[in-house]
Amino acid sequence: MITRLLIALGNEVRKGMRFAWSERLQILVELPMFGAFIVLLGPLLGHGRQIVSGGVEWSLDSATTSIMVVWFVPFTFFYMQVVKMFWRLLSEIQAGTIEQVYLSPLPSWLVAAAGRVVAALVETMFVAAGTYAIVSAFVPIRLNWNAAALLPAVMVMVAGVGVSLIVAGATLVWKRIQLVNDAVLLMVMLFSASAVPLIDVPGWWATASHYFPLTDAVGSLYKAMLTDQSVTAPWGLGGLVPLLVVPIGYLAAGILAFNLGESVAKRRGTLGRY
Amino acid sequence: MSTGRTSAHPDSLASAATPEAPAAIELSGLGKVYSRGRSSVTAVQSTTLSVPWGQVVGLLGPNGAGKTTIIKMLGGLVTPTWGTVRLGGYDVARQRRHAVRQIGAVLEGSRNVYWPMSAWENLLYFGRLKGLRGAKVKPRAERLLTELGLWERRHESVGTYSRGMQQKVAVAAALITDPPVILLDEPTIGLDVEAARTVKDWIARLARTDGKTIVLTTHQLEVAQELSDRIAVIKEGEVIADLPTAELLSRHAENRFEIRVAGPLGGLADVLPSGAHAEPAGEQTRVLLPDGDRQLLYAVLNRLQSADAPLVSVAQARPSLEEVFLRLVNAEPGPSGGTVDGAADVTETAR
Repeated sequence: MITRLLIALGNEVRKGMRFAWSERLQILVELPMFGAFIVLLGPLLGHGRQIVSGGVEWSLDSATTSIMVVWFVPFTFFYMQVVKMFWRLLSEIQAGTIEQVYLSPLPSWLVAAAGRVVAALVETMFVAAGTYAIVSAFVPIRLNWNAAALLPAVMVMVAGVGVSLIVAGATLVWKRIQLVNDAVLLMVMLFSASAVPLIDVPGWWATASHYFPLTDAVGSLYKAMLTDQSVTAPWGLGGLVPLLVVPIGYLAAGILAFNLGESVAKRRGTLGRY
Repeated sequence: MSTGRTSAHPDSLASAATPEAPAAIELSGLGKVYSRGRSSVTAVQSTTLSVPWGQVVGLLGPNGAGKTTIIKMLGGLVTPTWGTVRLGGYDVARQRRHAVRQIGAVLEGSRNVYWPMSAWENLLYFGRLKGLRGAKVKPRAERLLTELGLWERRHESVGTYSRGMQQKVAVAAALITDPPVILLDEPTIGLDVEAARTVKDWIARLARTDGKTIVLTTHQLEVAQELSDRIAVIKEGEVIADLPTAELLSRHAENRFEIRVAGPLGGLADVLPSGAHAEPAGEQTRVLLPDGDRQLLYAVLNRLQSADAPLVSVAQARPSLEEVFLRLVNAEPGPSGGTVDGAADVTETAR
C-alpha cells in the first residue's frame, strides 16, 4: 500500500516537473527581470529620506544587495509555488482533467501540492542561481553558507505549500481569483521584508508580520547567512518557535482550506466546471 | 440479472471480484439536490440500483435527466445529498481510496487526458496515478495503443490528435489499470462514424471478452441497444425503467407484424392492402401491419409472392430501443401510477 502511494506521489512530482519543463521559456524570459529587480531596487531600499530629498546616491551596496538576495529567494519559491499552482489548478479545472486526477487514491491535497512543490523548488534554484550570477556581475554578494540555513529553507517550503493550498481550496470554489492571489503575494512580500534591515516599518507592522508565512523564515535565514547571531533562540524575529509554528500552522490551514473547498465543489457539482 | 460472465481481470487492482463478492456497483437510495442560494434543483431522486460484476448497464435519459450526476457520484466527484454508492463493496464516501481503484472513467464534456502530453506519457501517468509501477504499466500501454492504432504516433502530444484519436486515448487511459468497473459518459459524442465505430467495438470487447462491468450513458440509442445487457431509463432524476434490454424491448413488443423484403418495393408499395405501411430500412424494405391482423398478413404475403419480391423475414414487430425510450420519457404519469395512454407502467423494473 505504501509503495503504491509513493508511486502515485512520485507520479505527481514527475508531472509537475514535466509541466515546469514545458514552461522553461517563460522562466528564461523572467530570469533577467528577477536580476534587474534586485539590481535596480537595491540602491533605493532603505533610502527613503534621500529619495524625498532628491539626493539618492545611485550605487550598489554589497551588504544591502546580499540582504535583498536572502529576502528575495524565499519569496521566489513562494511565488513559484503559489502562483503556478493556482494557474495549473485552474487549467486542470478548465480542461476537466482534474476529475480524472481525483480518481487517484491519494488525498487530493497531496496530489495538488506534490504536483508543484518539487518543480517550484527546482525552478527556484534555477532562478536563484541565475539571479545570483546576474547580480554578482554588478556587485559582490557575501553570504555565509551553512547548514543552519536548511531549517528556515524547509520552513519556507512548508509555508509556501500551506498558502498555495489555501489559494487552491478557494480556487476550487470560486475559480478565477487571481486578484486575491496577487494581493496575497504582495502582502507576504511586503511583510516579510520587515524581517531584514531593508526598510523601516512601524511597530504594528513588525508585530503583524510575524503572522505572515515567510517573515520568521526570512529572519532566520538572515541570521544564519548574514549575521553571527544564533539561530536556535526560541523567540524573537526568526526564533525557532515562530519559525516552526507559523509555517506548520499555514500548512494545516492549507490542508483544511483545500478539503473545505473540495467539499463545497463536490457538493455543488462544480469540481470540473469552469 | 447477472450475465454470468467472469469478473475482473486477474491483473486488476480490484481484489473483490469473486462470485461471493458484493455487487460491482450498488446505489442505495442515492439522491442529489443542487442548491444555489434559495433555489434548488433535484438532479437525482432516490435511486437504488445493483449492478452485478460483468454487466453492461445503459443509463439513458433526456438531457438534464441526471445521468452525468449519477456517473460523477459513482466516481466520488459529486457528493450525494442522500444515499450511498458502493463500488466492489467499498463505500465511495468512506472508503474512497479503495473504491476509486475499482474504476476507470471517460467523462463527458472534459478532455479526460492531458493534451500537452503525448499519448504514451498520458497512459504512464494515469497508470501510476493509481499506484502501478511503470514496469507494469508500459506493456499494457503498448498493447492498448497498438490495438487502438495509436502506437506510431504515441510520442506526439495529444493536442495534435483528431477528436477521435483523443477520445481513444481517453478510453485507453481509463483502461490502463485494468479496472473491473468502467464508467463511460457519452464516450462516442462528437466522434465521426469511423471513430465512433472503433470506440463502440472496444466497449463491446471490454464487455464480451474482458468481462468488465460497464455503466454507459449515451444519446446514441442504437449503441446502447447493441452493447447493454440492461437498460435504466432516467427521467427528471428518477429511474422510470430498469430492465434487461431484451425484456424491456419485449415488454413493448406490439401486436403487429413486420415483413422484411430485400431491396425496394418499387410500385408494389402503392398497391399494398389498406392498413399496410412500407418504409425503407437500410438495404431492405420494412412492411408494417397493424393490429396483428393475420388475414392482412396473408394478403400482403400473397402480393409479395406474386410480385416475386425477395422475402427476408416475417416477425412480430419489436420497437427499437429509441422508440421504447421515447415512449417512456414522453409518457405522462396517470393518476393511478399507470400512464395516460396505458403504453407502459411509469416505473418498469425486473420482477
